[in-house]
Amino acid sequence: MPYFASLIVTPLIGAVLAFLVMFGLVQSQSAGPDQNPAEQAALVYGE
Amino acid sequence: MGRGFSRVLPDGLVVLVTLALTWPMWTEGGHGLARDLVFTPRAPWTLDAIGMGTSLPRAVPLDAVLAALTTVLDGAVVFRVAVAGVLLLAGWGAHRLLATVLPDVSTGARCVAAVAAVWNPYVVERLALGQWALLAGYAALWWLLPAVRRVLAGERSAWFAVVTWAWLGSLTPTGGAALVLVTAAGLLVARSRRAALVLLVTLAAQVPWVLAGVLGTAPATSDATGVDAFAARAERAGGVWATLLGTGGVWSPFQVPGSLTSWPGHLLTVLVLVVLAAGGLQVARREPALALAAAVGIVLAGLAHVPGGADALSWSVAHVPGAGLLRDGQKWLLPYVVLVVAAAGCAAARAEAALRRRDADLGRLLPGALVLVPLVLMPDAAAQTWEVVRPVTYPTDLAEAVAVLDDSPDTGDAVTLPWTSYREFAWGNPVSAADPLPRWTRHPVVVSDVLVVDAGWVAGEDPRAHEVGAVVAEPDGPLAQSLAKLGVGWVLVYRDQPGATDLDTSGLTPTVEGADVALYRVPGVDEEPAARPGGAAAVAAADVLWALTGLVALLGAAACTLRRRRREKVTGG
Repeated sequence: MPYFASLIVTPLIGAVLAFLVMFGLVQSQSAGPDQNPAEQAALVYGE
Repeated sequence: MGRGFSRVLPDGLVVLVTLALTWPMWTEGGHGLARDLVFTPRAPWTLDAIGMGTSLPRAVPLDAVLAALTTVLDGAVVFRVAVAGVLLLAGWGAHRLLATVLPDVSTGARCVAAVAAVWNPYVVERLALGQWALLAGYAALWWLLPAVRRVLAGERSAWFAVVTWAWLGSLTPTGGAALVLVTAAGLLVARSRRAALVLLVTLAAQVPWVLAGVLGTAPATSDATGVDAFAARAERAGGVWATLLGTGGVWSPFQVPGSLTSWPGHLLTVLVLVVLAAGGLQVARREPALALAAAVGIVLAGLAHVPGGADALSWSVAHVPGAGLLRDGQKWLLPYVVLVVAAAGCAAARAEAALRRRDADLGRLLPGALVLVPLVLMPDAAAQTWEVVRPVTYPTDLAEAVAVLDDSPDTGDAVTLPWTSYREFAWGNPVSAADPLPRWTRHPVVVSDVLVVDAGWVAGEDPRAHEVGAVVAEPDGPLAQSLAKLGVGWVLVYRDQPGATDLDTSGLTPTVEGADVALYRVPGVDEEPAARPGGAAAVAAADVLWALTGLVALLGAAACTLRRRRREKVTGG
């Protein structure tokens, strides 16, 4: 790969990875529970 | 990169991701108790442990194996070795299998397969449900496939490895059935006498639970309501098939990492399709039986969602003995997950080779980035597994109650109240957990086997539990008298549970009165212990034979591996 191209591709890959990591982390911390536990009448199997 | 470093790197990464998924297990003391995962200091030798109690043999021969192991090691040690062991075996086996598919595969691609084998939706969701023994089947398949290949090539000593991995993978009926599916596909593909023998070996590994199911007293059919309750579930928009293709889809929403319910989940499904397109064919050419079993597995996993599938499943579960195994659909993804992970390794190797031709440095870096993909797409996986593998400290009251039950000559079954199958213990993890008492005391224990699910409840199969549950729900007079009429001699009350204070304990004699647990004797119960069900001796004998066969195979496989290594050293291989 020419020097110029690698100068673009390498930071691009880094940026995509960094975006994915940040997105994953934010997503994992901000996603609401699948069901509101307060609405559960009783303890269900698997909870 | 040094040769030695390259050799240990994939194994080392597996250790790291296993540590990440099980961290609390190593930093805190105690035993495992969450959801379906139950480890007590000493698992008992009971009729239930060999599947000859009154309930279905769902954890056979697992319970007997745990009883054997905990006679020499505390359950706390067995818990850690077992849970971490299945994850390590899966990761270590994955990159070794990849090396048999692509003999010149790079270390980087091996690392991709090793990490993806442990950090994927299937493993995380099943571990989060506490089903580590099903993952033993998953881990065993990685090792069974190359062993079968060696057997088919005429290597006699490989039979030891085939038996060892078939035995390990068959600790639970579903794990064993998945291995049978793969070896049956192997017979269809190879059509040889050796392939038929391999199928026979995996069928023989199922003897403990099949024999217990045939000779036991529990009805072998199940409540068809479970088909709907335990069907594979869409984790995000796009439907259940897209989720299943992404190797997720467990029936319960509580085990699904939040990341999978959104954009990263979609990306994961797309990536899986890309790796299947790029590397699936290579794996399928080398392991056609795996590809066939994976195709059947994914159909079985989503069967409840095809037109007429749910009705067919419901009928089978209610009328065909053993068909209850098909209720929990996503379990059947097991061979498919192995195919996807192996294909991911092949795809990584292809991408690396292609990029290396253009730029050697970037080509070398690519697998390093690809190794991170599963972690990036599911960064919250450990949050799901930690709440299950975090050890709990059993209350001293419970240990005292177990000691009383074990030592007392007084007869009559023990029941645990409030009457429910899963509880969230104040002294445990903040998730539901199975009752630890039947997995701890030698005394016969009757527990509720009704599963409360979102849509209502799924009835159990145990007639004795049904009988006791009916009396507890509507006692004919004081509870003590009603239980005595049923031959129930002991009542253990989990005092931290909702409704525990409202229980009618009048007429019961307190034996252990702790803050967390109380044990009562039911007066007037002095009946002879129930006679052993016919066939228990035959099942026990078959189990002993099963265990001895497994041990001999394990020793044989270890000896053969050592001999092969020594030979390779001498010849410089």
